[in-house]
Amino acid sequence: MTSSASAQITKIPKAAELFSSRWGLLLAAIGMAVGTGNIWRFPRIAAQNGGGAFLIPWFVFLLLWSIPLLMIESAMGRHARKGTVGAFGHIMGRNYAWMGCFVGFCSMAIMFYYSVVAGWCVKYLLGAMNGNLATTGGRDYWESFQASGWEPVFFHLVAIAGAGAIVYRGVVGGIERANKLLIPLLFAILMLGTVRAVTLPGAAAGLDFLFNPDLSQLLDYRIWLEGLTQSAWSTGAGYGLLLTYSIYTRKRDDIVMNSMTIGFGNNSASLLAGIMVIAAVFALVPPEQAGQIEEILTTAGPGNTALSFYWVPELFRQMPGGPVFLVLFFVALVAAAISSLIAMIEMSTRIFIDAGLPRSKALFFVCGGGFLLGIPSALSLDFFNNQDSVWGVGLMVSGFFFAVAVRKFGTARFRRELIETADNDLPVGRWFDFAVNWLIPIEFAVMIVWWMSQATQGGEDWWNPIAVFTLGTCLFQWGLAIGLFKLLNGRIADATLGPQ
Amino acid sequence: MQTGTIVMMVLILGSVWGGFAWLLWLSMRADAHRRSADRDQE
Repeated sequence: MTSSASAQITKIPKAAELFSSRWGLLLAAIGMAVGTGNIWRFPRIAAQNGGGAFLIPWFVFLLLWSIPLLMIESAMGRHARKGTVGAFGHIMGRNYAWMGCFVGFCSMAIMFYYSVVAGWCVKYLLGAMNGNLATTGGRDYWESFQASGWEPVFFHLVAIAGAGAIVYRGVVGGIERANKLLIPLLFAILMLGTVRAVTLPGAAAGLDFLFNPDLSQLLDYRIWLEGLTQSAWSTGAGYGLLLTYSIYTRKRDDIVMNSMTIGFGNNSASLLAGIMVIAAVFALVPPEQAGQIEEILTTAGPGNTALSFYWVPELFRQMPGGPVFLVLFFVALVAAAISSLIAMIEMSTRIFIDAGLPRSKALFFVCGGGFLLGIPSALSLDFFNNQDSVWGVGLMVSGFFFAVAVRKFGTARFRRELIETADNDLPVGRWFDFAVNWLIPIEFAVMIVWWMSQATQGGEDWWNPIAVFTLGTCLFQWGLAIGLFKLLNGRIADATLGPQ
Repeated sequence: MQTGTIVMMVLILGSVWGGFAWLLWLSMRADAHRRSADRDQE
């Protein structure tokens, strides 16, 4: 079905269901993009990849991957007024609803274990508040938490129920209102923490480490690939989350400016977190342990959390006012985690609403299913790491699907009809066509080939479909999902877009 | 602090933080203009 033919099924939400202002939309969308990865992944990846040199490709790919994809998501959501499944069916035709299913399922599968991560953050916040974290130490606190068995499941339930309660109150009363509190709070804490960290004696060495570039490292292709993957994961481009929020935007909202603001806002949060964490590590590690700094900054740990869960508690307790800053650090992590989890729950819920379920029933189904399907990740870090790797890389495929959708619709037509509206404050030039037609497919191809070559060098069992980190497990799970969605495509399209 | 650090901080922080602040300002200004135009129409 072409866009014009399907225009009659587009149903614009009532005014009360739309974001009340552009500010409300921007805060919700920045909340969607800024997650725990900005705080614990960005500093580690920047440290592992040459600091200053890494920041160049990371910024370049914000413009060449993330922002064009954010624009596509915004335009598709606003045009179709449906979640990922309906939007792909609407833009590409009903035979392609399975692509929207894959995009939606990728983010839904991430939601299952991301709620576990949000639960870890809540647990650490409580530990920071009651002083147990400072007295026990980050590593021991983590180990006793994980050894308890039931606690990660309980906090996973707390996180998904809390975020679900916010989504239950609706787009304006729940999502917008929560983000109007969480995001300014998050930025205020990050700014306060950054000022505190850079004013510690010895912090300048951390700034040198993060910013002083060794430009010869730009000749190493891995820095460019890490810059691309960090930008893609961090901004939420290709997740289908902004697509879902865009269902609730006004026809005259400027897609170009909003997408750029979200991308730049996300990267601003990453830089604040990077400066705060790296400057604090350099300032607080005792001189006799200076050799440990690189290990501290580059060890991933369980679920990429070592820096935040092991080292930040150790280091912050040594500085004046440490307990207060420890609490603020975990408040920031909880705010980042919950604002992203809200977006994932809304995206999943919207898919079921489009298929005919009432909102409350769809939400109950998503949160209940999300809790049950997240339990294996809460109980087993191997399972968690497997899901993180499979669906994290799957997001690259999702991003590529968005570019395919636009090409099928006609890139120039998509830009003229769906992005460049009369109300735009910022123009989008033909670079958008070039980015969608050429850059994104090339970036995707290079990234996938590089990742596959890395995966096949990882050991003889690279084909194993039930191992934690193998190419085989990714291809098996993606293939299973795509096969199932293609098989059920007709039924899914009927439920979401109406009978043919 | 080394010279390369200062140059890079100016470039990256200027682009990212400066760009974000500029975009926010543009967004809020455009929103205010629209609201006042809407009020005039009413």
